[in-house]
Amino acid sequence: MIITFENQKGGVAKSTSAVNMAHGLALRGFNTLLIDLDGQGSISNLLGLPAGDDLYRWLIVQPRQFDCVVQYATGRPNLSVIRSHQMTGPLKVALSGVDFREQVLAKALRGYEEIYDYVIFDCPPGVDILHTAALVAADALIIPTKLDQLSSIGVQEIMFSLATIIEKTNSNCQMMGIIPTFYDEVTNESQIQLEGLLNEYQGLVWPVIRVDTVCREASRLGKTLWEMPGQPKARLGYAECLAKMLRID
Amino acid sequence: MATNENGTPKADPSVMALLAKSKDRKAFQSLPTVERAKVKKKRDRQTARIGKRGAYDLEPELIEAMKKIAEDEGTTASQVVGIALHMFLAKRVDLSIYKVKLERNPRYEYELVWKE
Repeated sequence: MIITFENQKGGVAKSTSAVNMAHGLALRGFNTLLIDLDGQGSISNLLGLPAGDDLYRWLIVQPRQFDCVVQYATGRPNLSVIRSHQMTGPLKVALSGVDFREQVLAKALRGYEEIYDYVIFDCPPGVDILHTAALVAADALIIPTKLDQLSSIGVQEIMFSLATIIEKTNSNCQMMGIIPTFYDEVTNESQIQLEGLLNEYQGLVWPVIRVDTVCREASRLGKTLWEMPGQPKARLGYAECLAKMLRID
Repeated sequence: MATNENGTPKADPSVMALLAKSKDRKAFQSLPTVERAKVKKKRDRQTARIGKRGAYDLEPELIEAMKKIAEDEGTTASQVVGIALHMFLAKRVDLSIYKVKLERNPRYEYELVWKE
């Protein structure tokens, strides 16, 4: 199954969610490939890996065949990653001259099922060709959203993008869930935004991820939440989301 | 996945519980001080009961008998049952005389049958 994590708004914990859900799947024995489509290279940082231009090499330098994939072993069982860094900018330029470029990821991932149970895309904020290509290639969309007004608007926008892409292309991508992040139980705003999401999207709203300093510590240490000691509040939320995802899948 | 009548997925119970808890907290904070103290006392009582409750299948006559004694003694049925169980434990009752072998129970070996 191919799952894309998207929200047009930045800073909503897309990369954190993608990394922790992917590593959670890997720890449960699912062979998982995490693909960083964001030129900021956050995935490498979050996993404590050196930066790399795997995405550029996979899509442009090497033939777009999955058996030539340049996935990077993360040192974590069942988890591989295709890293991204500043070469993602030239990649988008290179793709602008390619016919049917919105199909580029779907074509590159042909036959992935023979190797991987799950492929997870971490998308950059905003709308670009890789964002569209991810929605075309994916089977499911998960939207992490911070519990604030602008991020909630980002949810509406990405839902609209998905509807447009399904209409204009042969994408089979289905809306899977919305992960409310940075939930702070002592602020009214978190409650109001969560209620708003629930009224609008009902069962699509997944368990919340509480605001948690451990997330910041984990990114500094290059570890996932599953590798942090104790019982971080945010990890409990991701564990619930993971259980929900596996039930739906 | 559980769905509503219109086919949309039902709201996640953990999200609903979180919102309910938050509403309770807000309602509590908006109470006058006296009311707040009452609610807090009630809540503390409920918290103190955690781990002190057990459910057992008993004959209705036994339940009624405990209620009757509690009424007569002006106390609660829980207190009466508590004393009865302490007496039982203190006397180290030999249960073997009440044991009846169960034939087809996959879980338990014996049934205890009361003999007058």
